[in-house]
Amino acid sequence: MMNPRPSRRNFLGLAALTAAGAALAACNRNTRVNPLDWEPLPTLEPSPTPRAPETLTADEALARLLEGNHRFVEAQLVHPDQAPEHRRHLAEGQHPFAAVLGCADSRVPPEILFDQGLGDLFVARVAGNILSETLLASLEYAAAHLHVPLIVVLGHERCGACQAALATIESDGEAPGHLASLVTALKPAVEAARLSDDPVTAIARENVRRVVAALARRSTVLAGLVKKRQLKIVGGYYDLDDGAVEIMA
Amino acid sequence: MPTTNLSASRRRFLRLAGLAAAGSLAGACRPWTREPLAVAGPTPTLRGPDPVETDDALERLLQGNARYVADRMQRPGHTEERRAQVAEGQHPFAAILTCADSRVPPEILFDQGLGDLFVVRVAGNVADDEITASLEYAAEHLGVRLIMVLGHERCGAIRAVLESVLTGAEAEGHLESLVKAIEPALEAADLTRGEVWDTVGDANVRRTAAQLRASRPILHELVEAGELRVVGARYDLDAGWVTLLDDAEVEEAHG
Repeated sequence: MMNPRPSRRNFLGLAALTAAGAALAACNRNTRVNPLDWEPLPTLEPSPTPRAPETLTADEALARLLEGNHRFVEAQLVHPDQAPEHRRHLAEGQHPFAAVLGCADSRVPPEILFDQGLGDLFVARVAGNILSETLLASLEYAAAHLHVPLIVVLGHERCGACQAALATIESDGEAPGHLASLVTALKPAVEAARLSDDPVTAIARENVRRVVAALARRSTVLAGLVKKRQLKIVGGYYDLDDGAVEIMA
Repeated sequence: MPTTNLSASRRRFLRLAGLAAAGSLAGACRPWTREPLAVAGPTPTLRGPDPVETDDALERLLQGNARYVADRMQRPGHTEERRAQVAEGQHPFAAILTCADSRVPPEILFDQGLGDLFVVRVAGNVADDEITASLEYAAEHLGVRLIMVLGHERCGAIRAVLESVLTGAEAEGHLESLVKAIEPALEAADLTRGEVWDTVGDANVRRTAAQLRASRPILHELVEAGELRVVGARYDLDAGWVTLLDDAEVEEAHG
């Protein structure tokens, strides 16, 4: 499914799942079944995910995002693709024109900042717009299966995760609970940028650059698509005050 | 709101009472029998310095969803004024963990604006360390008292995992991490009921929500102290409704 080449799994449809489920349900009443023992059930039903009716290039996708951001900055939002008919049109499958890896911060919702609607953007969000295995898997899914031509890694001003990571590292402290995983992920950017005049901004920007580089380095799926010029990965930085997204060189 | 010195039974009672209140709000609280909500309701505003209690947060979400379903969106907090208001700090009233699917943007389907929702999104709404850490930040640092785990119909990640498991084919790239995260839900799902794809999706939401409630030390302690509630819900791609899946929480409360 993650492979851009047609694979056997692409030909397995929902019917197979339903049939397998029904068959399993019978077993399930008596004994626990290990799903890994299940036999494949071949079917000719195609995958329900439709291809995009129009395929944008990475540059066209980026231009569309920046036009939407311009509308947001100028307070000229048009709120596209949000009506009930549009929702029903999309119900059977998505074909977003770009993917965004952004921060979970409540002030940075990509659909609002880029003035987009339902079905337009595949959006992964996590504090500090970092990578984890499942976030990498998400972006691979968007690029290889949904064929988005563009991934934007979007950092932002006054990022709380960057502030917290900086404070933890400066104080030689330890973050409680799972928060340590955020500190670990942000540590390289903190080490590289902590002595700057404006460390939180410098760390956020450095982190975006590092995540952009890490996507192709850590994922052979993404690297392959970039090499074939079917995918572009860019960094962006959002200004909380004026609302503008800057694409980083 | 319950505080840390409440007895376990009192806390349990309050949680169930909360569920009942949410249930009446959400109609019958079942995807198949749900009544439409009244669409009217105050325009949501940014939360102030005091935390928004869980029931109020849930009500605000469900009212926004009703506006969206009825095509009567108010789009609060999309303005330059709101942007300026939140530039120096955020006070979201709820946190959402949902799927990266382009058809499930929480700000649109709950009709909310800048600064309202802390939003974590990953394919299949699973909770690995970094995702859990993000929600810990929301609950502990930003003081949100409601986390909603929101799954949706016909989830591509669930499907990819089902296909991988059913065919025994090796997951490609990093998909294996999603297979590992979602597979236990497949085992927990009652496959005798309903359609397999969505049944597993619901089981996955319940499992992620239970995992977050049990996550030590931060989220578990907040839940035990009655300062945080984690609810599961499902989004209907056709009709646009968000429906609470509260069975798991009730069972755990009885547990």
